Amino acid sequence: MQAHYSRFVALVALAVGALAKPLVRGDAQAIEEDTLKAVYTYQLGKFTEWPATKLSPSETSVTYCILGRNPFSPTALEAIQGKAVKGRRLTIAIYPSGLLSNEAISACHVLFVSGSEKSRLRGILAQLEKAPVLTVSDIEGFARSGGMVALVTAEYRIGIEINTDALRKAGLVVSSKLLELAKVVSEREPGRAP
Amino acid sequence: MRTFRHLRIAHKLVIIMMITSSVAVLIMAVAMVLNQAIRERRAIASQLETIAQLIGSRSTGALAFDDPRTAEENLSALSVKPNIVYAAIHDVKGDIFAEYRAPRLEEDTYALWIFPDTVEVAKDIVLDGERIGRVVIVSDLAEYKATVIRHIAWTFAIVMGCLTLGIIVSARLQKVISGPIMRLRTAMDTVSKRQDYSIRAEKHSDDELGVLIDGFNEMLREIEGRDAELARYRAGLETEVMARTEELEQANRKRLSWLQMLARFLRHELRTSTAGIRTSLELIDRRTRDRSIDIYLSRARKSLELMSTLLESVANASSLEASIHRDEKTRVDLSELVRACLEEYRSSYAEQEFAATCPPGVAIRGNEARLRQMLDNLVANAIEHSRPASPIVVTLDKRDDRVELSVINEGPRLPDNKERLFDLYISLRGLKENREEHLGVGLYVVKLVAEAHGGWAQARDLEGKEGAIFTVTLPRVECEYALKG
Repeated sequence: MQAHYSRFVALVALAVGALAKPLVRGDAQAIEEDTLKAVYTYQLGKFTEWPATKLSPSETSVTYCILGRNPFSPTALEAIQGKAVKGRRLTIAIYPSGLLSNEAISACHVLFVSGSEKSRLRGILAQLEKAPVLTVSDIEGFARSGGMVALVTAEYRIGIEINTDALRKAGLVVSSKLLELAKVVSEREPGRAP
Repeated sequence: MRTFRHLRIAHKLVIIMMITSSVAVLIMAVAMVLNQAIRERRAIASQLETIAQLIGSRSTGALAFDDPRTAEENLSALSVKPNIVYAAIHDVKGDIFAEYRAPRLEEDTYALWIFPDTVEVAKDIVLDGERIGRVVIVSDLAEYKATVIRHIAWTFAIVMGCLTLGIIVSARLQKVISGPIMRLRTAMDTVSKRQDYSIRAEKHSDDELGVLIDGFNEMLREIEGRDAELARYRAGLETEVMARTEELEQANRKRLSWLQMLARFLRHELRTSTAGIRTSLELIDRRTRDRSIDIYLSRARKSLELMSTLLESVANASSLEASIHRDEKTRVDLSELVRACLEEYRSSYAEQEFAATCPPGVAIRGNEARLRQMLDNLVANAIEHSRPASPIVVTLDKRDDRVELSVINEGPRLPDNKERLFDLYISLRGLKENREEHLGVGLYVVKLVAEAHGGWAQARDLEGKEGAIFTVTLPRVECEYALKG
């Protein structure tokens, strides 16, 4: 009986699988791009290891900071607000354009650099150099410019570019599970078409 | 169980031992196989769970960042496990995110349907404490089944080996029980075949069988003792019986020769004497003038006549008794004999009425002349005592192993001491002048003839009316022969 049932499930899954796939794609497409980016950013935190000095075991929250003009709609932020990361609550802090204060740098675990900061990017990244803050942005060429994780919009999905050198310098480690999905880039490497 | 009943005890013991051990061994074998199968299956499930766990853990990134290709790559690693026919990763909503099908699944769908033995394992994919999806792995159990069948085959071989060994061992061990029984049986057979009670069974053990053998031997000893005593007693008895028989035969021979002598004496010597007396009486009659003695002469003559008749009767009876045992016996049809006699009686006693019930085919072994004489005497006796104008009834009755010939007459009742009616010279019933029968010879002859045929004579009063019934009972020795005849 059990065997029959499981076989039935397997076959139904098979049959439905072929049809279901494009639907899933369609669903993903249906989600707003900014929400998807917010969720991806949130997920990145789960695959990242901070040094204990930055994220001590006693800490109860992980701070996600947004620098510059907030590109996320309330829906997108709601999707991640208050969720758990590494057993801690996710809190969101939004900082205005410009350079961050030292307090802000020490408070943030993840920093999403808004597209509005494209022109000030070099300065921002220089300020954050060696600070154990995971930098994420959807600015084109972000990873090659010294950023850590770039969210690259491809045809139907959002791709990930990771600059492992930047991570190493900052003392952050990302899971190999993430790395196998992402495209690993470096600053010196000449840009390639995505 | 009929066949089992007829088996020898040795075989029964082997069968009982084999059944016992077979049951035990089979139960053990089944338990072992089941245990093995269950453990094997658990091992497979746990292995699949580990695999599912690994796949799930590896696929957290792919799920988190919606990268089904990587998830499929992860799943494709399952191809190293040929028994895994299908695997899938479902997302948190339950939709299929990525899946893997072993190439066999397509080819072997039919076989999969025929043998639905697959096992499915599902494992949640957890990222950072949050369930983000699910891995489902379906493995077919072909390998498992093969393993189980191999186990069964091995266990069966081992069971067969054990039972073969069991048969060999029990065939040897059963002798402990069956051996003494067989020896006892052999001893018993010998005893009953040779009737030799001096044989003893050997005793090899002190258990119940030993007790049985002791008992048997004790019984034999007792029988032997009694036998010897009996044999001694029988030998003595035989000698005694032989001596007695010899004595009796001698006495009988003496009596018979004496009877013959008596008959001869009566016929010759006494007849000579009576002839002398008769002659003397004739001479006296002729010579005397005195007619006054005529009355004495006539009385003397009458007495002489009576004496002659009496002498003749006694002589007849004596010679009858002496010769009756030497009579030749043949098959006699009594029915025919009675019918023929009655015809004769009807012609010779014209004034007498006769009736008869006489079934046909009643035959015995005997001497026809003697039997006829017996019936003559019975009928003569009945006529003598019958009331005038009453019929004389002759009946012939066929009983199981004997024949009853009865003659019935109406008339005076019989005297009290009926058994003496058949004695010689005893005429107890009212005498009639000038009749032979009052000498009592007739019924004596009846008794002699009946006894010579192995039967007996009997007299009874009639029930209901005045009269007598004389019955001769004769054995139907030749009844088989009579039926055939």
